[in-house]
Amino acid sequence: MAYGFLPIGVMLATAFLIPIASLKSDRHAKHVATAGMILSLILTATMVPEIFSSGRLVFQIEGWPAPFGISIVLDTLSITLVFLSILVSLLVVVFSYKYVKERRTKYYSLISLSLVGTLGMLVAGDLFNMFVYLEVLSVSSYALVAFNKDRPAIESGIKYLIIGSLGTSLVLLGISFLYGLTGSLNLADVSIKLLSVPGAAAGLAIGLIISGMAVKAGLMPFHAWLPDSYQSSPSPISAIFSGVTANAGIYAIMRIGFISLMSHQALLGLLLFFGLLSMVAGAFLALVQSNLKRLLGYSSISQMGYIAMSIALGTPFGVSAGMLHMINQAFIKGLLFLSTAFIVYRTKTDNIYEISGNFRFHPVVAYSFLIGSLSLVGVPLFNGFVSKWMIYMATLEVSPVLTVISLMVTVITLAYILKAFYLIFLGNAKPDPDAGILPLSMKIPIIILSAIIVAMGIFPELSIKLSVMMFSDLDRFAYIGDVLK
Amino acid sequence: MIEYPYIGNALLFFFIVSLIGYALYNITRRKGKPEPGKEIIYACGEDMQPEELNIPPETFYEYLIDLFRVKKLRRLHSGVLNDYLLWVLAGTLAAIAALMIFG
Repeated sequence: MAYGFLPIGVMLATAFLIPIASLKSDRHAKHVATAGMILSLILTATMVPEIFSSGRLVFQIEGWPAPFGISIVLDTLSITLVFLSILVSLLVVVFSYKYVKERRTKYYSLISLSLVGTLGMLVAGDLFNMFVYLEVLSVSSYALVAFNKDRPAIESGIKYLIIGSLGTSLVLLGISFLYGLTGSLNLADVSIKLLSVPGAAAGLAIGLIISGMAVKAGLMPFHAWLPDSYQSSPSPISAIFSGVTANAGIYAIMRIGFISLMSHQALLGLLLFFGLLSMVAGAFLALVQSNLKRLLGYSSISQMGYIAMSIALGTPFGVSAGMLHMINQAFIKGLLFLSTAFIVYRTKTDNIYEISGNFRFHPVVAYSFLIGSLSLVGVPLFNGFVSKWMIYMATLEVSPVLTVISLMVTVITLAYILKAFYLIFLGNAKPDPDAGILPLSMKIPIIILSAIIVAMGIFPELSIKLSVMMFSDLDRFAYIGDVLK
Repeated sequence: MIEYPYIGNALLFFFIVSLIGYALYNITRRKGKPEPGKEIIYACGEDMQPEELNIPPETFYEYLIDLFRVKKLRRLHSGVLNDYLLWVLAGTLAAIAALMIFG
């Protein structure tokens, strides 16, 4: 039985059960969503030991063999990202208990559907299913961006809809070309058949797919939807976009690019260009923002640039560093966005020049934001230091110029994030009648994320080992051998 | 087998530098009560209030923003959807060209 599909199946069932459970009252929506995600997380965790010992599990739906049937491929790379996505989404759902008070049925259903899309993209072994899940993720994301239903939210939702639709159209066009060239949609089969296809034709098809996925990842110049969407969507949703959705985009680029192409030089050069552009421009644009969520949005673009640049180095060390930074960023941005969500919830504004003195009233949130900030910059004892250190060492092996650029961008990162912390939490405190009140449902996810960031920083060996195992899953020949056997 | 530089070296270096910084801070820190008039900020003889001498966070990085033309970069993000779609198309063409020519 294709038990690899179970986490996705559970989330899909959850998405449809939420409206049914909420027929009498939408208070039940959050309970069903939470239960579904916990079950999905447990099912994923039970598969981890088998995957770590055997390397890769391949399931064929209804027994149809590859390349004809639908393949689900679970290896260390995909299962890690699946686990991470469900965990971050679960923490966001718990946080949202007190945050979202209206239209809860729609809210939790859409989060569940977006998670279905993300998980499907991470485990799909064929391009068509990857596209279908990309669409599920995209459509639910458009609705989540416009959830608040005010003018900025609707405008941002429409922008994201149009730019995102262009992206998915590019992906579909690329997949169509690939099918025309190879007669197959199974990724492993396509990668064999591409060997006998002219390089230019293959480059066209892969270039279209990578561009479409880069829209989802938020790499420059495909990023324009991102700052508006992060600003207008409910703040907990921004945590999912930054830590889950963007990772799905970069995962698809890695998986399709590294597996299907025999020679990676052109792809790596392309990723390096997009990565450096995102890294530098994202950091400088974050420096001039007055809106906290927009600032974190540009910061996400910058950090995604670090990931792309690191992967583009092409060395085992560089790619592992990029993957580890992907995992770390999910926790860091999750923590920063949830802390931001609380500040916005309490102060009713997200302008950093209108907020001040929150350290006195909300010390837990202040310390959490500080932990997230220091980890983002790469201060030791936090998980961000481990991946940033690996990135610096990896760039030093290839070109010291890249190391200098990375360090300069880190200094800019320090500038904007400390400016945000100073303005929001220090300075003269404005009176707050509910000072010190942090609902438990908001406190728990923030504390869990802070603990994970500190634990991964103090005990980095496990995460480093994990990143090495994830890198080995991009081996083209091993992937083809496991899927087509 | 991937060889990693031992991260412990970086941590150790960080702590040693932090300790040196803390030692320097303690050595150079003013001890005892300040003499009258010594705690007032010196503004080259000008009569300025402490509030006037604080650099507001909004303008602290102004020199950096001007140097790297960040305001120009910000103006490029016009909010007009057509511009954004053009960027996506430009990026796509660049990706296709790179992979077709060099792939």
